[in-house]
Amino acid sequence: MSARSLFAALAVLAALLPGCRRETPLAPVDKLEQTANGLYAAGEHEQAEAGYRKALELGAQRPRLHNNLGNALARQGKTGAAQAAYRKALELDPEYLFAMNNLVLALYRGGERDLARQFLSKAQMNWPRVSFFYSTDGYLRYLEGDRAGALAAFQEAIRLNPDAAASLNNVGALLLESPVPDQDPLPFLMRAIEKNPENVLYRDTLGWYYFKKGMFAEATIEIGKAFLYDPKNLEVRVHFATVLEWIGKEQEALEQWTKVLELADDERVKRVAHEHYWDLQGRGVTASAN
Amino acid sequence: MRYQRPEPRRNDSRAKDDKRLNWRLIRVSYFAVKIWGAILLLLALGVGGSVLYSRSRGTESVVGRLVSLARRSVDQRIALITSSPEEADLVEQRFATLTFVSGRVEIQRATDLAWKGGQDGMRLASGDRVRTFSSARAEVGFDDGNVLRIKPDSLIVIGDLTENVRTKVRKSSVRLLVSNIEADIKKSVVRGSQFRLEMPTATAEIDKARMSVEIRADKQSQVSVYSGQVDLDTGSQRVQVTDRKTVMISALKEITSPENLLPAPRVTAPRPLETFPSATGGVVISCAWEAVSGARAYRLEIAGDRFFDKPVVSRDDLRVTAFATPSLGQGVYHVRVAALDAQGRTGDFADPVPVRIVVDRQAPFIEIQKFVVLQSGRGREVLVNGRTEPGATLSVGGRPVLVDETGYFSAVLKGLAVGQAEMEILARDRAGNLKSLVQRVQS
Repeated sequence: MSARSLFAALAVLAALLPGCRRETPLAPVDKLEQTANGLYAAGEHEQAEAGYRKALELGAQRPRLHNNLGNALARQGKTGAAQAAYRKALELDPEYLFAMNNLVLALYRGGERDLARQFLSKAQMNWPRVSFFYSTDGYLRYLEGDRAGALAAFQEAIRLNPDAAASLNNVGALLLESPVPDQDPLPFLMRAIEKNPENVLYRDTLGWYYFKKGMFAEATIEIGKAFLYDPKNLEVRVHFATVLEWIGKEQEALEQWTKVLELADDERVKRVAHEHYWDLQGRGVTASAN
Repeated sequence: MRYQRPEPRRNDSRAKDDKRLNWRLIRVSYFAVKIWGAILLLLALGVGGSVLYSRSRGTESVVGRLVSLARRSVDQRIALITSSPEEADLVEQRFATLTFVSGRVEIQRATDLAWKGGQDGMRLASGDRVRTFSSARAEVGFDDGNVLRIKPDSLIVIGDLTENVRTKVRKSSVRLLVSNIEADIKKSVVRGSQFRLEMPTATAEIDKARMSVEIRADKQSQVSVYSGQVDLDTGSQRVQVTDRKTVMISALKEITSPENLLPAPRVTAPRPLETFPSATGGVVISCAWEAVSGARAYRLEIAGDRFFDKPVVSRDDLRVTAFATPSLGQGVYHVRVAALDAQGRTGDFADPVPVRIVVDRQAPFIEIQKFVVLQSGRGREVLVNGRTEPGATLSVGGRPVLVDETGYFSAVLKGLAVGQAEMEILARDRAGNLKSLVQRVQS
């Protein structure tokens, strides 16, 4: 093989290797969008909003940008502005299903429940095979206290998409709360974790299932993981403290209950924490020096 | 003599041959031979080492997993080529996990002839065998929540463990040789998924069931279904066994008609996740359950582990629906009850109830925030408030005072006896520890 042909072969190989390919530079709008997406994922919703707005100012009238802006606004509690952003996205693309679903949720949170329901019914009628509309339906029903309806809606979402992790978790959680469940929640909870192993809530729900069943080792693993992923989550911390108590780690449990008492705003959570705190104190358990 | 004609040459390449390399004239330096020799030796050592390592560690090692992955991938491709178009969906292999081991439990990998000790958390793949020796137990958990509890002296083989990538339908099967198992098969999230138990003389298709199977050495099998539905098929006979029914399958593949099993009694005491504080370190737990019609007696088991591997209380002669345990020490316990029928067969066990006993030798605190003696026209009155341990009972001067869930108490006590100089405030916590405080009511 001559040197020339060897060089040519190497050049072809280099072009085929993804790492060797030259990346095409991103347009300024794409760059802005990418940065804003990163900020949104990191929980910096205000800065993300600014990023999306700047990208829109550059003249990129993309439905996705409006939808993402709506999400950033909704996260900050600016429900009205979020609704406007979702509507704009739908104006540009009337079949943008994510924006439609988000608009339903924003309308519901903004108090326009009937309108939200109308939008959702219409969406379910027009796209009967879209799983997440049923998931949203289940969520709204759950908020309204219709647990049976919520369960049926989440189950329909799973039927349409067996990998719908949120619906899987929600079915599991609803069955777990039910005094006489007609189905074991475990397959739903395990599948939800399988589809999204790093989701704190899914881990916590699975751990709580194990705890209620007296499977304390499994409960400690799952709730412990959830706590590691998100130590700020108070519900997870409450579960973690409870499990620690049951596995005999009372000193650690007392530390967690003390922290819950410090952080909790909810009276119900405070009452539970108080009860456990005094129960441990009353048994002579003291927090460690560290 | 017959003349043999030469074979015609298809391509006269004599001219070309002349330009070919003459291998005999190539000279290779000794240094190059050494380098290449070293490279080849290293390569051979690496391959050999990897093979030995993977054989010693089975599929637990990274190399073993890579080998098994490659093997499965080839299997899948072969299955795709050989299957009909309807079956041409790609299937993914799944795993089961050994979730509990007690006593001598051994595993034989599908790719290995040697039996090795089973350990908690060990992954099991299709074709792996699990055997338990006498007084040993194991539990196999599947990724869809299904559980197989293997009792002593059993041998099982993990069969199919697949998921259809397109439809998400999962298929699991386990082959039971001489064994005694309990299975808790949960309704799958995806319709069409199935769990199959293969016995020597029949197969059991399960959609959702809690059941037990005992396969004896004479190949007779007893299948008991506590809840759910199991379809038995011997090839010549099909029988559906539903809630609380038991059948025998003979070695000649004959299934007896289903007989009734007793349902699980509902445990009313103790309550799930109840805590029993004790000042002495020992607690008598009062157990109670609802009567089951047709029960000759009840079996009650209390164990420190949820597998009831080593029960601390085990009674199967209880004729009444209540039982007070002997004094139990600090720890977590699981309580379960089943009814026994006229033939002495154990019915379905109620879901185990987890409880715990904690030692509390510390007396409750009493913090008096206000203690005021008032003199009115009707005599002396005491206004008292303060805090004590939540859950404690409190009395002031012998009169009970309500303590709220945060431990706060407040009361006005009227009609103090003339000449009464002191008043005792007595708190008793849930474990029975006492704390007493005396307050003066006369200046």
